[in-house]
Amino acid sequence: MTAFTTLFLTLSILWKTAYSHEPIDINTDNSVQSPMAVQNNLFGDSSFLDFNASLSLLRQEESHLHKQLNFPKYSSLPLSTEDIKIDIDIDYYEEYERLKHEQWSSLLSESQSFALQSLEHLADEENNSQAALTLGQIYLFGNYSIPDDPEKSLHYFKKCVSLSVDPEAHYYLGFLYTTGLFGKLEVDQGKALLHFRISAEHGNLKAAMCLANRYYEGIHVPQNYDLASYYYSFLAEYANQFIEEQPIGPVNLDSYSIRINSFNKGLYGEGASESYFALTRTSESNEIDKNFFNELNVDPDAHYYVELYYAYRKYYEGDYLTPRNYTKAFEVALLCANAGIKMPSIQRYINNPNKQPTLETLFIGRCVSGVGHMYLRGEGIEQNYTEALDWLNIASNLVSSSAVFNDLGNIYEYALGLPEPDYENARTYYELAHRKGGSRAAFNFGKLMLQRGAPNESEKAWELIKSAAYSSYPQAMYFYGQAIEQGERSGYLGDLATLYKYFVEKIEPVFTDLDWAFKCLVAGDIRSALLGYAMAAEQGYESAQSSAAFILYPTTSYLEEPPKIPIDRYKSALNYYQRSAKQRNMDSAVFVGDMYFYGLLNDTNTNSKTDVSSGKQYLMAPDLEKAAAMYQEAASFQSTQGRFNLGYVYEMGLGVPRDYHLAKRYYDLVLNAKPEAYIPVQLSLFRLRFKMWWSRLWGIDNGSDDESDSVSRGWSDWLELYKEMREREKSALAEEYHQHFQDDNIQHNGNTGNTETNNENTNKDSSNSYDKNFEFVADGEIGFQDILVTLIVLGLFIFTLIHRWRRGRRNNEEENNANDDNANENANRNGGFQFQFVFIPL
Amino acid sequence: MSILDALSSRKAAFLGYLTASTFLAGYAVFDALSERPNLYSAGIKVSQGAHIIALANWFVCMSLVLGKTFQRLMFGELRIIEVEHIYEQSWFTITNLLMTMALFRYDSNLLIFVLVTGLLFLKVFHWILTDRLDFLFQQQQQLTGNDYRIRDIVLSKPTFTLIVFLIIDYKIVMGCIDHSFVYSADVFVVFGLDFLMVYLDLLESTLKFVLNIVEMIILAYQRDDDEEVWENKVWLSKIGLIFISLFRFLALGFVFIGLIYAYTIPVNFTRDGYLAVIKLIEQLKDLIYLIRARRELERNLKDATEEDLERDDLCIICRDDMSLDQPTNHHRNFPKKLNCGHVLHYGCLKSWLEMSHVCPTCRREVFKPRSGRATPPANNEEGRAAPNGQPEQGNVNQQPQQQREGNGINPQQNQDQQHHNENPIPNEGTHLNERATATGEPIVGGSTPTPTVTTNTTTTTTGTTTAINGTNRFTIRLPNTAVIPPDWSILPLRRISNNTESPPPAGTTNNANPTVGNSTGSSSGSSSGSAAANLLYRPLESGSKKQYELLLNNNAVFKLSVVENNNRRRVSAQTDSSNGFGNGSRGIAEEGAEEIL
Repeated sequence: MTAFTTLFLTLSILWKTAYSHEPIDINTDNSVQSPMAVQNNLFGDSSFLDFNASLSLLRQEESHLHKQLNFPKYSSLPLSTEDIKIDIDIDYYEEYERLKHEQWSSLLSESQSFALQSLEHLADEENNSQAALTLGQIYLFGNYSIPDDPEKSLHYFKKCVSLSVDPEAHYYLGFLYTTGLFGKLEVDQGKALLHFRISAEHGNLKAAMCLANRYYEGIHVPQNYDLASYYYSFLAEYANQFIEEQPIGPVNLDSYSIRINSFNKGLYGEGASESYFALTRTSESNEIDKNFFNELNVDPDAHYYVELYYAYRKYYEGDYLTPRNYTKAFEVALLCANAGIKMPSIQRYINNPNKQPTLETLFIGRCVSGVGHMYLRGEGIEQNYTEALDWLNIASNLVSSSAVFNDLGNIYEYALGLPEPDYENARTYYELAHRKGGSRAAFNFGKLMLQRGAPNESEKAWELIKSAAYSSYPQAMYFYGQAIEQGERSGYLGDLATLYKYFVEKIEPVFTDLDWAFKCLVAGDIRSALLGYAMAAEQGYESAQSSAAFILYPTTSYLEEPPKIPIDRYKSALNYYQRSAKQRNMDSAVFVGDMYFYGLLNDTNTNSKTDVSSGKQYLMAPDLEKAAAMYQEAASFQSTQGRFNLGYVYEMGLGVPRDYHLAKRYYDLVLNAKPEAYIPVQLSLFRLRFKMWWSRLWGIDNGSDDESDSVSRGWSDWLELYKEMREREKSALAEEYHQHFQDDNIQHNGNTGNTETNNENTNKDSSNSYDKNFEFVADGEIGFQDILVTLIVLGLFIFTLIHRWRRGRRNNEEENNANDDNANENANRNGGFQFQFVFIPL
Repeated sequence: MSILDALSSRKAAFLGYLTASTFLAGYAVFDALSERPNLYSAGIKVSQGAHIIALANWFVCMSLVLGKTFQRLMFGELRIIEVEHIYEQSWFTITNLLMTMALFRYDSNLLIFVLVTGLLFLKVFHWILTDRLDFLFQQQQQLTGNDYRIRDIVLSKPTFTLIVFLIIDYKIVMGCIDHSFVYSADVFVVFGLDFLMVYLDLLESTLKFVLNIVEMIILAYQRDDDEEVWENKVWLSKIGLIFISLFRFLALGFVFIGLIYAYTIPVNFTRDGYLAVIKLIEQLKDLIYLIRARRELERNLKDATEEDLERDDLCIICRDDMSLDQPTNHHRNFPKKLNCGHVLHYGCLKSWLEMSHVCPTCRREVFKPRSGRATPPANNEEGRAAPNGQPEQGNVNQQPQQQREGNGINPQQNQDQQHHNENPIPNEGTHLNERATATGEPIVGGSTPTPTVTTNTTTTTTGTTTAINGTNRFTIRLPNTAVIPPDWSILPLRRISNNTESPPPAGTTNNANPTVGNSTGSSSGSSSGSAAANLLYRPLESGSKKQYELLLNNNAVFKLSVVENNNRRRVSAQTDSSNGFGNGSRGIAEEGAEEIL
């Protein structure tokens, strides 16, 4: 990515030169290939192709056109997520884009042009709304490798809406009006809202989600949680429908909701970024965890069943580039399970589960439970509840995992393959599962308790469901949201909207085309990816907002120039970063501050006036006050980088009054929160100290009341210092103790089975009890230790003194004796000789 | 610094290392900057993995260069003895610093790194400075007294450096105290204490320095023939040092106990603490002794009688004649007799007792009178008691003393030396020229030296006789391993064995005003003074002074200084290393002795 700007100009030149000669060839080529019928039809108005014919023609011709396009560099998808390389153009030159577009258009064969003309004819002249919609999409997304054309796209969508109420066309119109396609079209938020509303009222989910998000965040409309929850609850029905269509158990969601900057380990890179989550569905996430096995001192390659298990997981889970393959997964799991349970050691273990579990039992058990799970859900094999129950029973003997118990509980609760539900058994299994942890178990257990348990248990049941909902278990989210909506549970203002928003966003395959955007991104079609992410961004996905913003205005390295982009794209980027920041993405918040801080420089190539005035010309002038405000906001989210930047603006007096002491405080905060940032912070602190010293030297007022320099310190101050020294260690010790105690508590609670719900209480308890305990420690042991240590040190000290003194005395005695009796011997101890000599001064 | 000198000897290698480190560090920074969007992020990148190693290496490198530069600026080229001192002291200092770092291993690396490096270099500079100040006085003392030399000292570079360091140290210590009040108590308390120790050491040096200067000024302005020493100096210095030690002890105690109570045993201060206590005790003992000495001096001293003076009228300390012809019996130059029977000037004795508690000649305790030996015959007895059967001569006193100082010769050497006693360049007989000392006249021949070069001892006989007549003759006892530096030479006159004195040749006895004397080094009271020098001297013309250093084989330094003071001249010899007297080959010194300046 970094190298791209440097490559950029050369590339564009290459492109121009390469294509200046080609069009002739292409035309001749095309004329050869084009069907003669089409050629003939060109001359008669009446002989346009019909809708389907033109589409098939376009489809047919696409591959040929595609071959001639080396821009955009469509590449085939990489095989593994590790191979993904994303190149995003940092700069955006309209002139270059126009040239590229022209070139691209000239590559179209005559038959393609004719097909398009036919479609246009259909739409314009014959008022075919379908043709209009298709054309709008073609010109918007560049389908069939046709160059995009925003103006035409807008035109045909408008045409489509004028012909009939088409929710999809309305949605696209809304999208076009709200984004203006980043400078290519006019932005009109009022029209956008209108189109979204019409589209939503006619059942377009995307439009409804855009609207919901607008009302939820208050984007271009007054914030309105009621309307937001209305739209979200409408969407939640569809999401729930999607869940119910899935087989029983957890929803297998293929999430493509990523931040592009995750490939760079966050917007600001590893260590500096604070809103960075790893890409979850990568190839390596389903591979053998080397660290885990290293800790066990086991070589995973030496264990056949371990490999089989991981192969099964890989097929079952899939990743960003490989879809799930249930059939394969089932085959592997069955192989593992069948071979595994025949092993004598496994048989012995099943019969006598008191033995120590081994690696084999663990992984074969997991395979067995996988087979059971797939039988239960009918994945890769026909659904078979009795088989499932058998396998799961074996699995429960081998491993005690939450998944197995949940599955078993499900079987008993819903009487799958059984004559009638066995709630007792189900409850036992759910409880077992819940002890193992996990939100699915909490939800199942809570739900069963609520529906079949004693009335006095309902509060506890709701707590469980709530905890499952807040740890994003989709079914629980919907269930709890329904409860709030129907007034069974009370929620604060916006609670319902928030819950539904996250629920709806979780079920992304129903509402978004994020998978398409991701594939475009990976294939190198950044323009389409931008569209996809922008659409999801309008729907309220934070990850999509930061991704779209990143495509529009990526971070550049310190040594590079900032991106040179038109003001409209810059504003869009700013907009998306801001929305992302509003959803508590701290990096985005800081970056918005940075964007305000630096502004957008005018590209000197497009404006000759800049040469005259030596100063920089800004398309958007830096707004230091806004930048400082953004940093302040980020800092209030506990962002260390926000604090650092805030410290910097206070130090330099940029956008805020210069205040060295405040700056120092912010730098110190960074250091406290993030010790690994010591190099930048200490350097800044060093610079700051020098400045403080300098300004004091010249008597410059640095903005805030100076601490008096010459504080005379009395004896009491020294006593204070002494106490402080002691206190520090005490507090460190107390913290350690606290930590220890808390760990203990959690472990304890985990065993009795309410880890998540009672967390808050636990904290309170532990802090109380630690206080008490600490008093005890301070009074008793410390005193004893003090005395012991002091005594030992003093004892050592005195011993050495005495030893030294005695040795000295002995030496003296010896010397005296020697003096008296044995002077010569003493004298001979050291070799040496004498001679006389003369100095002659020169 | 010691590392530095080792490195500078391989300058090219060091330069290469420096360049490589700089390049690596530069690349690390460049790499971070070209990957990360801002300085903060780049800073974090740089503090991870290989980058931080490259940077730390560069910092170490640069601090060495910086340290060397500062050293060049402040002190110029280091003397061998200073390098030696740095070697000696840096070991435990570095160990201590490592322990300090271990104490703060969880704290911010950069701050600790800067503090540790700063402390180390500051300490090294202070050692050098202390040596320089000593050296300054040694140099300047050899000038004849006038105002010029005082100004010279005060305006010298070491003095300037001293003032600079006094200010810097004060600032640092105060800064640390401030910081420990305001910010993190522990780091700055511990390092503040370290800096305070350095500061107190510097204050000690300053005290000595100032007292020396004041003494010089007093001596310069109260030009009194009798006043050779400033009497109050010793009191001021002792009390001042005790105050400093007391303060050091208290500060250490404060932090030590405070840290122990805070569950951190300050291992790095154990040595300092121990030394501080020892020092304080020693100083207190010294002071008490001094007080007692002053009080009991009268009781333990008798006025010398004519008889005593007949036997020996040379004060062993100032090498001057003694006579009863003084205004009072408390005058500086009045001869006093110790309990052991040795006679010294009153003033010389007093200044001697400031440094030592024993008789300069026989090393008996001055204030422990032994009844049997309080009379002059005891002296003779002692002389006979020596196994070598030393002849009872006028200068008999200093002979056993020399042996006792640890430089006696072994039998093998005895033979050698007896063989060499046939050396045709003999010493003047001591008994012949006793009276000449008092005259103190310059010898004309001394100003016209004859540059004679000889290849071996036997050939120098006739060639150097004239030169010898006009110059000072010294007897110096060198260790076996002595190497004569190339820029000066020794003309061997005679070798002295334990019990023999070669007879003076006829030629030299006839010479005009040859004076003969023996002197122990004035520094023999100090711990390092294991070498004694005998010298034959006549006063030179004023203004001449010389200091020589002998580099011994094992890096010990052998200092020989000729000091002229009020028309008296002292030659002191001193080694700066206890291991200077090993069993090296004798041949080097003998070969060295063949050279002639």
